[in-house]
Amino acid sequence: MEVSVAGVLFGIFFLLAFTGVPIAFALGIASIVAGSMILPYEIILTIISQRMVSGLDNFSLLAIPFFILAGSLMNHGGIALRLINFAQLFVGRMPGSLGHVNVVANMLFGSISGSATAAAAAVGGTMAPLQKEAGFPPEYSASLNITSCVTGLLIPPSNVMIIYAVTAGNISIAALFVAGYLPGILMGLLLIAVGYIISKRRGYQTSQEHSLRDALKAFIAAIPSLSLIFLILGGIVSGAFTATEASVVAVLYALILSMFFYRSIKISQLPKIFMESAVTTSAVLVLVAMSISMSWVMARAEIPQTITDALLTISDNKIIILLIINIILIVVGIFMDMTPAILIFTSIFLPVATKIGMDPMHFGIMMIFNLCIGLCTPPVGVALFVGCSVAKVSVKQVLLPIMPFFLALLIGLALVVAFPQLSLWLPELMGLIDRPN
Amino acid sequence: MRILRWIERVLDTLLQTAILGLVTGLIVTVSWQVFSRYILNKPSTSTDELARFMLVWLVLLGAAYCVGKKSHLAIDLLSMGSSIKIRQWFNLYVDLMILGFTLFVMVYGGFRLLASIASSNGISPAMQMPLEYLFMILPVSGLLMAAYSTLSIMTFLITRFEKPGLASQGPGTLRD
Amino acid sequence: QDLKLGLAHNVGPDHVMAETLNYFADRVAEFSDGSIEVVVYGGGQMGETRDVVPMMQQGAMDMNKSFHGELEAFEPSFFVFNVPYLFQDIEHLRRFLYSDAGTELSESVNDKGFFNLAAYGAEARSFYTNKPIRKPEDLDGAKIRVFATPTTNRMVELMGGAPAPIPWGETYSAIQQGVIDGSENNITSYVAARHYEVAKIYSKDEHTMVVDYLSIATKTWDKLTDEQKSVLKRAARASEEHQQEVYTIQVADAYKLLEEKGIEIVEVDKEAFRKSVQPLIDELMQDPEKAKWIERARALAAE
Ligand code: NA
Ligand code: NA
Repeated sequence: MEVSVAGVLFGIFFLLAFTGVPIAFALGIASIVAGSMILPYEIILTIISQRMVSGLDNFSLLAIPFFILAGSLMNHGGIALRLINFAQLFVGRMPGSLGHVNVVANMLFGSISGSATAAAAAVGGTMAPLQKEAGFPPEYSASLNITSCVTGLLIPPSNVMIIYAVTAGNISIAALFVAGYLPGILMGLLLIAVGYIISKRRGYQTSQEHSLRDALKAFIAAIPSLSLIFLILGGIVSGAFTATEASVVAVLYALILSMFFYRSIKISQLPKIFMESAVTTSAVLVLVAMSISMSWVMARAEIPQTITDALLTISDNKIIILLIINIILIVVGIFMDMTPAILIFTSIFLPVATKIGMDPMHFGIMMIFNLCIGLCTPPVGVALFVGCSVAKVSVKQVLLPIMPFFLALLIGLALVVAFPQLSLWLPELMGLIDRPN
Repeated sequence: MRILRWIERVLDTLLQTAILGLVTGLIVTVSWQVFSRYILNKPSTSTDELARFMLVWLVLLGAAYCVGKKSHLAIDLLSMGSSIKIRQWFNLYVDLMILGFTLFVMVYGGFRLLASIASSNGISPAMQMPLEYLFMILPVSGLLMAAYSTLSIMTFLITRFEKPGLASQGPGTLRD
Repeated sequence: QDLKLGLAHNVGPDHVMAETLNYFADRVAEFSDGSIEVVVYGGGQMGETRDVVPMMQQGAMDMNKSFHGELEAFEPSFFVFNVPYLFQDIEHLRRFLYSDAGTELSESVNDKGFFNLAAYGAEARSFYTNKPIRKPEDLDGAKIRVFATPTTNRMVELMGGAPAPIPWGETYSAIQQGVIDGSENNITSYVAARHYEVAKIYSKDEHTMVVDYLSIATKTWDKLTDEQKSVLKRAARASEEHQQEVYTIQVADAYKLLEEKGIEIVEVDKEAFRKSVQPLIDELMQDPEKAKWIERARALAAE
């Protein structure tokens, strides 16, 4: 019974999603049909509508619209350029330096915004012409921008982490945020390493030395943006704010900064910016609402239980199970966007992971890292599309040059899976995980 | 055709106003929560609940607006490579799916749920507000989504069967 | 097996109620010779009580565990457990729960499409912060995390504190970083959530009680045979007894653990606290319906 319900649920979902029905509605319709196999359909209709509202009725989810709005305000405020200049101070002297600057700027941008595409567009859009001028093949710089823009999903704040924490339940968002730092930085460093090797072999240009004066200027110009990082993360980690409160502080900060100091946003532009952020938010959160309906149907039909049992019959070896999960997730990531993937597969795989003794926080970081790779692959990969469009190259052109960077990401994933301490050490150190003996 | 356009503009304006109000309201409410705790030293006891309820309304109204603007996340692999004519039929199919979902789940299911909640007189713990007000958004948003998808379907039918010359615009292109 | 019943609850697997409900499920299987299976959906998979109640009305869920604060949203009479200092101790609470008054309260939700099969009493809630709270003045201006209901908010305010509605899961770090000064709960929750690590003084003012209920949908109940009903009733009784045994052990363990950790348990001037909330009691007594429940609880107090 559970198996046929699961078959109908996923079968209908994929059928609808791949014929162009918006993912949120595909989730909802699949849940109705599968749910009607276990309960009368009019009851299922009522429950699905209820789960949509109750799923959204969550204080943690409120951080998402605020982070999206803060990111949008900071974007209009010309923050990307200031961060790029600042990043030059770190990696400006290495072979292929502009590529590394792109990576570091993406990581810095990621510490402010919870979205990969915002970074790919803002940083990559500014960097692409500069890199072209310096003689970098556009498909190379695009590959680096695409693979590094996803670091911001691991480096907090991160909207997908909030979604994971809410779906998994009983996970502190502050702790999960901190858990993402080392894996996110590791991801960036691996990409820089690969870029360094390639640049050195091909003799890509290094930018000239900065004078101390210029360096100081770049640093000072970046201070307002960098303070936002400390304000948000410091506030969350120290416990002064909840993630949601920190996100509204970020909105107020960005509003004041861009309206009164940079004067880059006029009050008359605000309705448009608010509206855009509200639309983005709704598109993401309505997915959350529908997935919560779907999780209810899955739980009621005992599907996660069935899948856990099935996986454990294949093997009770931790490594093999993790390998299977990761392979499935990579395939999922190729075809599916990150948010629905997290929403659907957390409820399916987290019970297995917990059963083989994995920390839910470690599992979340692994899953997000894994699905980051999917964002860079066709046919469904927002980072890939945005990265290609800002660098003015076709998807086909980057498919080969991006391969070495994929390899770096896969190595990073393997390290994150193999060494739980990469994810757990920092939050433990800061006393954010309260671990039962 | 002109009347369809007019209806759509009215819906858009209504939704935009409500959404902007809710975004502003959310910023004010959550800021007040921080302010009351740190500056006034007297934590507000109902902003948390109020903000959550506003978020629910915001997202479901925003989702209705996304139906109107066809900006929901979708994988349009199949229709992407095909001709305009085929794409129109795909659009019709998507509109019908959305219409079905909103009418069955959000409107019919939503009203059933409201009846159930009304019969048990549930209230929210902090604001002591009847829970019907929270769940009322289901039929409201459902009807708005249904209206948008109906408009899109009607536009398709009109352009297709009455003025073949306009058919190339397809559904969802009538907004200016 | 002839019958499969779903039971929802929203606590983690280590909670005493999770263990009690599993025990209930096992007894149902045993007493029915395996002909009734109870599938437990724990950890809030099915939603909170607010959501599960409509599910029970519709026939999508058979049973649910809720605590009295959640039922108060449906039937105001459950306010009685939030009345500060109404119950002397857990014995008084249990006398009330299993009296005619308690049964009547249990069944008062009948018209909402469900009723309570079993009731489980727990220890009283007290304040914990990083300074001793011996009298209401010690609470002056202190921010205390509460599960926000009007009665609870009013109580904390009258005692001199500022109620802060922080989610339970965020309370640990909120205390740790000084966002709030403390929280209030019973000794087992204080230990289970490890809040003693950040709020090191437990001041036993014992202001209000905690009651958990096991409810069943009327729709489900009406479909059962008399034999099946009696199986569920027997299992419910057995689970009540089991909870009392397990709970006593848990409380003893909690005190032992706190002693090992060097946590200070402070005895307080209860009379002063009782006096400080008198205005709240007076307000409640003005409502004849509420006054009736308060009187019935008082009638069962020990001499
Ligand atoms: Na980020
Ligand atoms: Na992909």
